[in-house]
Order: sequence, then C-alpha cells, then structure tokens
Amino acid sequence: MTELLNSIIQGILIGGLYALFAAGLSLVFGIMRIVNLAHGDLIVAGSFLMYSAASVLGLPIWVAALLVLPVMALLGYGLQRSLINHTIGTNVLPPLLVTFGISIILQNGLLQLFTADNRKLDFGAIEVMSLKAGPISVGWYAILVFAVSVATIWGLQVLSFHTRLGRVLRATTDDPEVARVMGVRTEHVFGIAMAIALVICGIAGVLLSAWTSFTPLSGPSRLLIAFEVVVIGGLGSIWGTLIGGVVLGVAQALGGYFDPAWQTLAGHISFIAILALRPQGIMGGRRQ
Amino acid sequence: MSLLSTHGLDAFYGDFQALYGVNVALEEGQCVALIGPNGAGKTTLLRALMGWVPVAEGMVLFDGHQIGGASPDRTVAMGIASVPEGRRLFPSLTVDENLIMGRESGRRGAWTLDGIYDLFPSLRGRRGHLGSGLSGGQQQMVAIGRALMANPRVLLVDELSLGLAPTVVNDIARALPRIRETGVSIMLVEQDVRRALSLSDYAYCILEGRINLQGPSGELEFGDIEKSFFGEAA
Ligand SMILES: Nc1ncnc2c1ncn2[C@@H]1O[C@H](COP(=O)(O)OP(=O)(O)OP(=O)(O)O)[C@@H](O)[C@H]1O
Ligand SMILES: [Mg+2]
Repeated sequence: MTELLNSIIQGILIGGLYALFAAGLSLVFGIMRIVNLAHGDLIVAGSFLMYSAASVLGLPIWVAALLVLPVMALLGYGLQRSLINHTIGTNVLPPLLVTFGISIILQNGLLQLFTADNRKLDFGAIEVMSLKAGPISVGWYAILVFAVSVATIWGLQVLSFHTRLGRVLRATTDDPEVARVMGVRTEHVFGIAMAIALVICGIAGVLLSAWTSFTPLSGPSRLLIAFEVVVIGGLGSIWGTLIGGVVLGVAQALGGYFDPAWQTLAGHISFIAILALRPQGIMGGRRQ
Repeated sequence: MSLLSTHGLDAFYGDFQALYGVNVALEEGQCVALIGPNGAGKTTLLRALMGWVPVAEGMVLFDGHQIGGASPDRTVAMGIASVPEGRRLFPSLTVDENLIMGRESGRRGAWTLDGIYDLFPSLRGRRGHLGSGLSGGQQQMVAIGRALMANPRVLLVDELSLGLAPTVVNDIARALPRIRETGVSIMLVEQDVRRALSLSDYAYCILEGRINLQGPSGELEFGDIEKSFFGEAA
C-alpha cells in the first residue's frame, strides 16, 4: 500500500516534467498550426547543452543551467526565422518535412559530437536526499523538478494573460492574418514563440539530465510523451498540460507498480482512453 | 494630390485576375464609397490598399509614396487601418484586449480606449467580455474601435452594415461623421446603396473587377447605379 502511494506520488511529480515537454509543443502548434517533429530532440539538445556546460566546461550547475536557456532561446528564434517560417502556409506537409529534417540533423549531429553513450549528470546531494513522512519517502530532486515545472507553467500563464507579448501571442493564435493587419510582424512573433518553446525545452532538458540517462536518440520518445500529454490535457490550455502530464505520469506509475514492463504501456493506454472518451482533452474547449 | 489612390491597379488570386486597371482616389478628409454586387472585387480593392493581396509598387500611392505590395503591418504603421470583412475580432481576447491590439501599429494620437468607449458607449459594460460573445453590432463597433486605436489617417471599412439590424446600423453610421471630424478619411464598402451614398462624398461602382460608374455621391442617379450592377452602365 505504501509502495503504491509512493509510486503515485512519484508519478505526479514526474508529471510536472511531462507538462514541460508538452507546453512548448502546444504553444507552437497553437500559434503556427505546425507539429514540430524535432521537439523531443530539442529537449535532448537542452540536456546535451547542460552536459557540455556542466561536465565538459566544468561550470557550476546553476551557472550551466542558466546558460542553457538563452542559448535555447536564440536557437529557437534562429531556427524559426531561417527555416520554419518559410514552410508555414496552407500546406501542412512542408513544416512536417522540415522539422523532421531538423530532428534527423540534431540526432546525427549529437551522435557525432557525443557518441551514443548513455549520459547522466550528477547534481550532487539533492539527488539522494529525500523527504520522509512516516512510511512515505519522496526524493527532494523530484520535488524540485515538480516545483520548477509548476513555476514554469505558471510563468507561461502569466506571460500569456498579463503581458503585451502574451496578448499578441494569443491574438496571433486566433487569427494571424488580422494580427498582421493590426501591425503585428507575425514572422517575428513566430520566432519569439519558438524561442519561448525552446526555453521550456531547455528547462526540461536541464531537469531531465540528472533524472534519467539520455542519449542522442532519446528525442522521439520525449516527443511521444509531449504529444500524448497535449492530447490528454487538451490543446490550447496551459494548465491542461500540467493536468495531462500528471495523468500520464500517474498512469505510468500505476502500470509500473503492478509490473515494471507495463509502465510505458499504461501511459499509452491512458492516452488512448482519453482520446476515445474525451477527444478534446480534459481541459480542452474551455477558456481560462 | 490625393491622400490615397490606385493607378491601373491589377490584382490576382493565383491565376485568377480579380481587378483590372482600377483607378480610385481618396482625398484628405473625404469619405468614399465602393459599391458593387457580390464578387465584384470590393474586398480585393481594400486588401490591395492595405497590402493583404500582392500588387505592384507603383499601383498604390499614399501621401505621395508608392506603397503597393507593402505588407499590412507596414501599411497600418503608415496610417491605413482596416475593419476587415466579417469583422474578425480575436475571439479569445476580451473587448479591451481587442481594442488594445489596435495599438500594435505603434501609432499614437488622439484615439484612446476612453475615446472609443465614448464613441460607442454600449461597449463600456462589455469591456471584459470575449470578442466571440458579442452581438454582431457590438462586434462591428469593436472592429471599428480597434482600427481607430491605430490613429489612422485612412480607415478602410469592409461591409459596414452586413447582417446587422437597421437600428444598430444607424448607431454605427452616426459614429462615422464623428470619426471624420477627427481628421480620418474613410473608404467604405457598403451593400446598401442608399446608405453608401448618404454617408459618402464620392462613390465608385465596381463590376467584375472594373470601375464602371463613379461620381459625387449626391449626383449619382440610383437608376444608373442599378444598371451598373448589371453591367449596362451608360
Ligand atoms: N482568396 C481568394 N482566392 C481566390 N479567389 C478569390 C479570393 N477572394 C476573392 N476571390 C475572388 O475574387 C473576386 C472578387 O472577390 P471580392 O471578395 O473582392 O468581392 P467583393 O466585391 O468583396 O464581394 P462581396 O460583396 O461578396 O464581399 C471574386 O470572383 C472572388 O471569387
Ligand atoms: Mg467583400
């Protein structure tokens, strides 16, 4: 029983991380109507940036983490303005092909640079310390990851609904043609949106780099999780990504509790169940 | 010199030509009406002026400058603001936020949120409502207010009254003279010919992408306009 409770708590906490996987994907899809197939690889790229800064350059963890984010932002803005913007139009295929291409290039580039070895960063004592309440024991690192995730989602919510940039992002999501008629340079706004998405990828990549091991080929499975979370939580809802992440995390934890081999499968089953029962997602079709 | 004018304007959607050698002019302080049957090219003409459809540079002159082909974000920054066909409010933004979007052009001037709510008092109580939850008339008011927030020199209005109840149209039409008093010149597409003529100083009739009748609104004969709709203009 205690073990089950521990599993569920663990599932909730990793759900925060899953929400981060999904938030950027959802933001980009909402505003540009494109599915970024390189999204998972960009999360992994964030992990490798962290690895480079912390392990290769030997920077302190905090410095390395804070360095990853602006690099990811620049990468996002640059990719959008130089490549992805040119593919956006009436046809859905070009953005898929180009982001698929970016995915392949990232995977192979990372393989060249870092080999296929498993990597994992060591953030020190916080990884082994845990909070104990009676029989329940929760790792402090998992709590930190969840807290950072919730704070990031909350920050995205504040940005969207309480800033000029957020208003412009939402207007462009509603109707990019009319946004341009209002004076919005949509190609720039798309660049900013991708930069924000990649900062979130960067946060996820940094947190993940000490959570589990990763390789240059870990991206597609992250993309799959991001995709499932968006569908479970409901497209276009920022808090929905957190709910979707937690649902997926708990489903996996429950599956894993009964049989470790079931962990991933249980996650997919929860995804299919939501898709069948509530295709708009848990928070979909609602306005905040 | 006209404030805004077209010169042999041709416009295309892919291979389809929607406008043929159109010449129209809007003088400073004037209100010009565009009338014509469905599919004549009225919306396309406004879109060409604001840069929503691509046209050659020399085909549009604004304040002495060739602006044909400039994108809408640039034309609005120059002072050409639009009320698009179908109003097209941002559905997930509140009325306040929709209006504030009009400031993205970066143009500052006399029009402020308060000024818009004074112009259309019935919007005041709806400030926090979503654009999608308004009546058609209120949506049109927001669409006009949003364009005015850009403090434009020229206001392009596509379909002022379409789908609106007559009393609501009267409320909105009454705002036009007040808008003109602030120095805004207006180009208006309007299906209701009598209303178009009463609101404007000069009118153009468009049929199948060509101007086939024009004149000062007070001098145009209703019968001639009717004929122009069917392609039998004198
Ligand atoms: N996006 C488009 N793609 C292709 N053809 C178009 C497009 N928009 C308009 N057209 C065509 O261009 C012509 C002019 O259309 P336009 O919308 O300018 O007419 P309009 O005078 O505004 O008509 P209405 O009174 O119905 O609004 C029509 O034949 C129309 O079918
Ligand atoms: Mg039209």
